Amino acid sequence: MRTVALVVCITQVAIACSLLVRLGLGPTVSDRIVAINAISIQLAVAVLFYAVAADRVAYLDVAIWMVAFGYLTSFIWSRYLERGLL
Amino acid sequence: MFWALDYLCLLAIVVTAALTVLLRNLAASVLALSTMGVVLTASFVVLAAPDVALAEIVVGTVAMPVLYFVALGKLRTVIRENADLGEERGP
Repeated sequence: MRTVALVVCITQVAIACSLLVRLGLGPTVSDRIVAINAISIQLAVAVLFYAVAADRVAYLDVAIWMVAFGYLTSFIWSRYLERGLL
Repeated sequence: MFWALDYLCLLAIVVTAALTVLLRNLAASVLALSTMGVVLTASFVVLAAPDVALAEIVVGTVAMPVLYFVALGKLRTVIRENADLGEERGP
């Protein structure tokens, strides 16, 4: 079970690394916002599976905070694109 | 197999740092900096420091990009002028 969780975690981080291509190449800022949102969610799920693989409960807090602040980041940047100023 | 996570996180940190320096658009550069905060958080978790990871989330993902965001708003950059948010028409 732990090995399966670790393999899933490594795969999630590899997917997040491949999403960096869209972050670098994306022609518009909207593409980059979607890319950073996807990277944040992928890394939060990776931390979740890493908590299973390492058998530590303390890592679950980090996953919760990563999801919450990833959402907040994409929300802030979307508002920035909509209005221009804060 | 934990070394694969270490190397993937280090690769992502290097790539996002290079994107922060190399991108021409200011908003895209700050987005790459925010991504580096997220990847640093995952790296701290892999290095078995979850409390440092919590501090890194708050500072690197939200606080520092918002500061840059306010600075970009004060500068009145190309974001408001370009309707299509194009890449090549930097300042």
